[in-house]
Amino acid sequence: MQNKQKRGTWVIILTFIIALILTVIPLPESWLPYRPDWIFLVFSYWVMALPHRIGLLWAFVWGLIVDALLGSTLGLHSFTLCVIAFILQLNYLRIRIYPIWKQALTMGGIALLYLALVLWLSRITGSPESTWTYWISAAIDAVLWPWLFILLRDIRRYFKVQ
Amino acid sequence: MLQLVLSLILAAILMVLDYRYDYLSSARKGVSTVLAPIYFLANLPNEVASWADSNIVSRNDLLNENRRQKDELLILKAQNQRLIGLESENARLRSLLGSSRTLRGKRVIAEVLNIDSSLFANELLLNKGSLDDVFVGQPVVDAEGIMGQVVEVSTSTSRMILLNDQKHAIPVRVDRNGVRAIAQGNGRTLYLRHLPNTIDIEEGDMLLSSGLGQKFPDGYPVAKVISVIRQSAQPYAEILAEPTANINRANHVLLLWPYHDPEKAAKTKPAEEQGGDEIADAIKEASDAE
Repeated sequence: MQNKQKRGTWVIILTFIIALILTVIPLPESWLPYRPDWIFLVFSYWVMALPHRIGLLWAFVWGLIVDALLGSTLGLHSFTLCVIAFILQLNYLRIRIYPIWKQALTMGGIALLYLALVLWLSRITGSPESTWTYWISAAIDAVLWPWLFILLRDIRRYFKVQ
Repeated sequence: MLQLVLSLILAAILMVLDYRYDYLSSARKGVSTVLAPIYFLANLPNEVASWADSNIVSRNDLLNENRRQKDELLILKAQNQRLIGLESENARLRSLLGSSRTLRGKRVIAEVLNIDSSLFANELLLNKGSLDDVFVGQPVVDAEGIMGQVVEVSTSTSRMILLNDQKHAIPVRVDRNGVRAIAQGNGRTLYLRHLPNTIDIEEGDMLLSSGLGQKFPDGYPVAKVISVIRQSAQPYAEILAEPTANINRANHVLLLWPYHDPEKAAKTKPAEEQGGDEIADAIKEASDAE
């Protein structure tokens, strides 16, 4: 794998940008708690697919961009995504061979960790308390994971991203 | 592992720098400027909907709307005539008192970009930025009252926090009797801080901005008192007020500039610049006032 050329960086960046747009796109008030964490999902996919390329550096830079977009304290999402990247890089071999439903459950669990880290860090930096509906999106992430996984895998194969 | 620890430490340092100090505001401004297309893309469905709303309507509806707006315009013009008279009278009286205060500065309408970020629900993104001379700390109002202030400016967008944000406080006075107070947000409504149980505030009282913090112009409606709870066991009365501005469903807001008379600006500038921390200022004023 090492001697192959890096290809398709623009595909990765494009999916990241789409994830950013989906994160801030307006939804009706009643749908808000059900918005999946697109940032988490897309980032996790790329770490799992290309662990030799997408790691802490991407996590850090992308986290900064997310922070600027959402107006959160700079570094908040960098911190969180670095932790997620680390966990996934340690376990990607194991998670990859799970059956898809088990993969979805695992991602739901990691999504909970992601949400908890974001919540804690943003509470420290003074954002308001959240309600229990905050945690719903972890379940949505788990449900969505298989579909997103298949979609992004097809995109990756079509554009031969390595 | 070492890399992880290093990047976590770096992220933590960034957070501290950004939260405690002001070093990173230019970096943040740069990134926000680059990200502006994303805001506009995300806002696109909304734009399309409002375009469809204004372009795909029957002639009859348009005529009705036109008639209604003409009526409204007439009423507002009539009210405005009275206001002009009052303004000039006010200015004359003030000049008699020797305190010249200006009433009108530049104002610009900004559109609210419909951006959701559930963690930061008390912030809005506006489509005007440093290109339009928007500045940090600038007051934002809508047709019904004060909405909040600008906290971050990039080239073509800016971010404002609403009155009901927990980090926001505004000096107010009661319209009925001039009692002064600090209205701080609690996430949903406003509460008036540190007022004794004997204070003369009732449910339904109108709160106007007092202009004391030198951030907000004086005399704009801020909130309406919705509940007053006095318990003799508590040191302070518990007073809640609801913002009069359409905080949750505003599409357009008005950015205000303080009126700048070049001569006066030179004199008043130092006083304006020291207004750093809104809450600290407001509290200081409150204690001074008492």
